[in-house]
Amino acid sequence: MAGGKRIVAKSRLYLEGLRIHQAFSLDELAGRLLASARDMITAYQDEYVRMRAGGIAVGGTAVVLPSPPEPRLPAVVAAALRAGASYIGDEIVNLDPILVRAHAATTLPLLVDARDLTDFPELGRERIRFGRDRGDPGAVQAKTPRRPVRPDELGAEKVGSAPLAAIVFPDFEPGAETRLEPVSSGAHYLFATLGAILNMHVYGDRSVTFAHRLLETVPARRLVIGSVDAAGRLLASWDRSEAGVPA
Amino acid sequence: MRAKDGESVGSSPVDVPLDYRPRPCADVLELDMDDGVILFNRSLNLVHNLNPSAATVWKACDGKRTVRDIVRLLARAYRLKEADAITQIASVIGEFDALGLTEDPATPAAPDSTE
Repeated sequence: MAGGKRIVAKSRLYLEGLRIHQAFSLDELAGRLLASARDMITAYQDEYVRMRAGGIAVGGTAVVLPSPPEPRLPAVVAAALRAGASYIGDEIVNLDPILVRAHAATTLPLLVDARDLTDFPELGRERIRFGRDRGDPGAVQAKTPRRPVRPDELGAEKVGSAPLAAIVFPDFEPGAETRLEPVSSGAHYLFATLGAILNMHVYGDRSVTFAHRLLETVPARRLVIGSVDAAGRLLASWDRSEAGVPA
Repeated sequence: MRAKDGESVGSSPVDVPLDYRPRPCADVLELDMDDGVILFNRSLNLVHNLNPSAATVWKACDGKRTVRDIVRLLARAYRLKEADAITQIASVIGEFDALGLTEDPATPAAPDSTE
């Protein structure tokens, strides 16, 4: 238009006349649709302990990242894939409490927060508009869309399941040195693990004893994340020697 | 704050009588960790993380000690003045009660609605 203003059209998705999604790009629309689909697919997956966690595989074993709701978690997983890890899950992972294995919850791509895509310029995604900051970070975050990113776009493979080798608790501290720290199997991290279990209403106190047993038997670390890229490289270089497990 | 037996103590919204004898509810699973206690309320599917101070109060709730007994016990053990400790400890016990973690063994069980 005159004056240099651009008109950006919205894409809308209708289902039998009802508008169910709208977005500024088809890619963004796909992200919203896939997020809804993922929630519906995983809502009743109760054959395993369902956990809000990222999941990667390194050297044939799984590293799981339990977390409170955190939109940057998929970006950490994506960075680990770019650094050589294999993909299990970006935000939801199923854990077999008997065999202690991590399973992929869906075959859907990662849903990376649009703000974090600046860390992945190789994906060539166009810049999109974000919600205007009106002083409510939660509202802005809810409007900030996710963009689907396939593991192969990051040079990674998908893994259906892998034996659990480590539990890593992500802790975002922008600007801090990205590092791994040992943690004890204390109340704090047990509480954090339990807080990430999404189907505790199904497993009840079995989930409590399972989480306790996990922290007693599986190496646990705290990952201080100053940089998403550095965190990804650190996770992808996880090996059994780091975990203290004999090769 | 001075109080007599039978009177409630506490500046929080949840007050408890000093002669109340709290004990853990049967459907509460307890895990004693190095840095606190994890409680799982089976009936509500809620998990609680008690810090070391709250865990100390929790462990004193055995159904035999009254709130006053617990205050005396902990004040003696940690060299506190009872008058200073009574409000805080009573408040913590009141929270336990409000969250369904403790009950009074003297209170009869609710009748079965199917009878």
